[in-house]
Amino acid sequence: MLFNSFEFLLFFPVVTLVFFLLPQKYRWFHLLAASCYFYMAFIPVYILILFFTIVIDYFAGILIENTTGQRRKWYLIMSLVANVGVLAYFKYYNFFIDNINTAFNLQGDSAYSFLGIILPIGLSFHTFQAMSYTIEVYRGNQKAERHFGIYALYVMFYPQLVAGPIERPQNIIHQLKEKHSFNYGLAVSAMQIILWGLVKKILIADRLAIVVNEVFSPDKTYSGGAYVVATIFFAVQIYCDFSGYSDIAIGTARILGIDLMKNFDTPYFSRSVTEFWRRWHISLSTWFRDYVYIPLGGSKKGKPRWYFNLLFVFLLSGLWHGANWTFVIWGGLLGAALVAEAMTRKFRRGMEETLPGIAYNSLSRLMTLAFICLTWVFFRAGNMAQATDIITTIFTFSPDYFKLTETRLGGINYLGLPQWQFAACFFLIIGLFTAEWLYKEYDLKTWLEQKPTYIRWTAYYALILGLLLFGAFTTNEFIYFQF
Amino acid sequence: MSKKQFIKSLLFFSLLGIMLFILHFAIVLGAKNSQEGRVGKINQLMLHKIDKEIMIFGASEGETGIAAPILEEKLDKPTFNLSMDGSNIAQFGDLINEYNSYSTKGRYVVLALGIFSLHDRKLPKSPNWYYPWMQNDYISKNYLLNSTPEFRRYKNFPLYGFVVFNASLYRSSFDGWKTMFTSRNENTCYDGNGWMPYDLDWGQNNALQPLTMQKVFLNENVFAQYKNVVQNLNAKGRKVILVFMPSWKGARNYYDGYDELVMKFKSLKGNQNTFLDYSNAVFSESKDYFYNYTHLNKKGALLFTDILAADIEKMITADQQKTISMNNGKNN
Repeated sequence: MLFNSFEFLLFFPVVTLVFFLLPQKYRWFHLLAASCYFYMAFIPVYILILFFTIVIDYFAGILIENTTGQRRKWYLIMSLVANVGVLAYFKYYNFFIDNINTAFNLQGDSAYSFLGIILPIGLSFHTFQAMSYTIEVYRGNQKAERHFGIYALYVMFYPQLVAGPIERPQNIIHQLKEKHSFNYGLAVSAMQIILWGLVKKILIADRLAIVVNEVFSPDKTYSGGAYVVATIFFAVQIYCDFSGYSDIAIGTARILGIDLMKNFDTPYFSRSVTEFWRRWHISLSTWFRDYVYIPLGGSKKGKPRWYFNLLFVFLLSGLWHGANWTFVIWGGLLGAALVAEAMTRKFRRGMEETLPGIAYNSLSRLMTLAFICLTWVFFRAGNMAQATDIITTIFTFSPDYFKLTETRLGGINYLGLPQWQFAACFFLIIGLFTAEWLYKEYDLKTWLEQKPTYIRWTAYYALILGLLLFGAFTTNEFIYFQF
Repeated sequence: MSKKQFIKSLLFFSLLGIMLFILHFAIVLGAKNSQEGRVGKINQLMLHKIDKEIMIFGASEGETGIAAPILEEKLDKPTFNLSMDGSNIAQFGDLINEYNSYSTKGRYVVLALGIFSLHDRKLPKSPNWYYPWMQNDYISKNYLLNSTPEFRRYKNFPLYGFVVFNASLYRSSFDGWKTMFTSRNENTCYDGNGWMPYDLDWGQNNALQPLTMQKVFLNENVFAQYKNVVQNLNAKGRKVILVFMPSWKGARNYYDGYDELVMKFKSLKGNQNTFLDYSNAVFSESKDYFYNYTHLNKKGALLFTDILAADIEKMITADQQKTISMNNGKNN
């Protein structure tokens, strides 16, 4: 069930209404049932996979807490192996087999066969969330949850079940047990966030997706300029798609009185790749920081180890995103950039002190954005060959470099869109970043809340009408569902 | 939640609901009055504003290939081309039935047929063209439109139109409101009387795929729909002129079942109707008259319509002579 679907429009108010009508002791069951229904709307039988890992981790948590010595570690390992095993089997088996067949040139009958299965939706997300539970219990930061239903709800809570934010048990479990009364202020704030999330997804991301899908199609080739435009569009698309989803998830949970963690913090205003990763998909980057980077030693074991840790974490992060070498390369490039920034920290600090603030900030933001956009080519391309072709075309000037148009039946087409819609995409991007900059620098939210009711309502109505009239109501899934 | 907050929320959503209902109604009303594009053509028919002696129905082959103004000029009979790109009989059949229900002047209906006419489509083409007329009996019960959840929801859920309406429909709505305010001549749907030519050279629209052998669709359910439509037209005294449109001869051998398709449509002729097969038209060997394997370009359409007009004129003359000799026979 997609957040931007008709089914969710019916599901959400019904679940919320019933939640507040029920006595507190039944609410966990209602939310769990709703979350099961939400998940089963995709492929029903896959709930068994979820149930399997929930049972393993529930008992692992209790056993870890009740045991001392080396056995605690074994229970943790058992839990992690079960979770990673499920993830590896469904997500990476075919990738592994494909590489074996290629490496040993196995073809036809001698080649290993692939699994004909669909990846369970949100597998990477709820697996990581489940692993964070057993790790935190092991570390003594979280008491093992004895109530099976509450633990299951922690893993399956529907707003963040399929695409995060990847929560920590310390943040969520106690909230699931607390009594929440309907709070008008929270509900208004939640609806604002949901509306903004829908605007980003339906009005911006799905509109830009038309151009991105057209240009990145493997059957066609385009000019360098077209690839530049499509790459920028994809950078905005993936941000709006994913942060839009997170906003809807956060808003949906907030109405129920549950506070989910912030997942994006205007990442494209970052002045370095290091800063970008503190502002992009925060729940994932902090997960890797706390459970991989720091246990490896972080920056505390000398420079060579530090650089290795950075590269390793980002290679792993790339692999988490998808079973394809393009994702690994994407992660590797980002890791390399972080290593380069670590190596040049003194130099960059010197530049910051030497140059005027506005010049340094502008230049560093532009360079960071350009680099991030280039890495997105690997993220979006279907394979390495396509990615390298696109990068090569971007950096090769030709007479038709700026060709963006094509004559088709019905008129001239701008990378899959009519002229006015193509132009509108740029206005949408400018509008988005202006709004986000105002939100961050001038606290747009508070400013709006201080305005009279008729001004606030006009703004809301304008956004809703804009969404309904200009939104691309396609059946595009959220991009991160595939992870 | 306090009483004040409750009232405020109620007011917010009520105002929003009222605004959206009014806007939705206005969009549909505007779209119904548009005279632009294919929506305009459908509107003219659904508003019963088109009643010509010769009506042309079909898919894109007919829409681009039969120049209605030429036919009108040559035959001296008001003519309109209501062919709809991408549709098949499952969709334009309803338009024919609607037309058949109200027309008093219609005497001849040209059915433009092509290689893909008996293809059983699983999904409708551009359902948004039909959304403004969802209340119409034929449209609301159309099985192809109802095969999509979007159409079914549009019928049953208020304001669902905002999800399914697209830019093209909003443009039509805007045009419709302009028409209502400026009181344009309601019968000038097009300068081309519904004809929508493509002034393109061979392959210019980048839609030419390499030729491969393909089986021509001969779906019996679709054929039954044609039969039904022809019978309904005949029942109202209208003559059906079945026109098998010309296609580029160089591609003919790649369509397995082509001759069978032509014979099948010929079987609809019966005693009342006429079947004209332009498979072997003189110009069908030349790419100059086509923009792809199956569609005439503007130049081809003008040439073809001249030929078609001459053939229809012969048919009309022969019918008139037949009628005269029958009347003479009765008198004697």
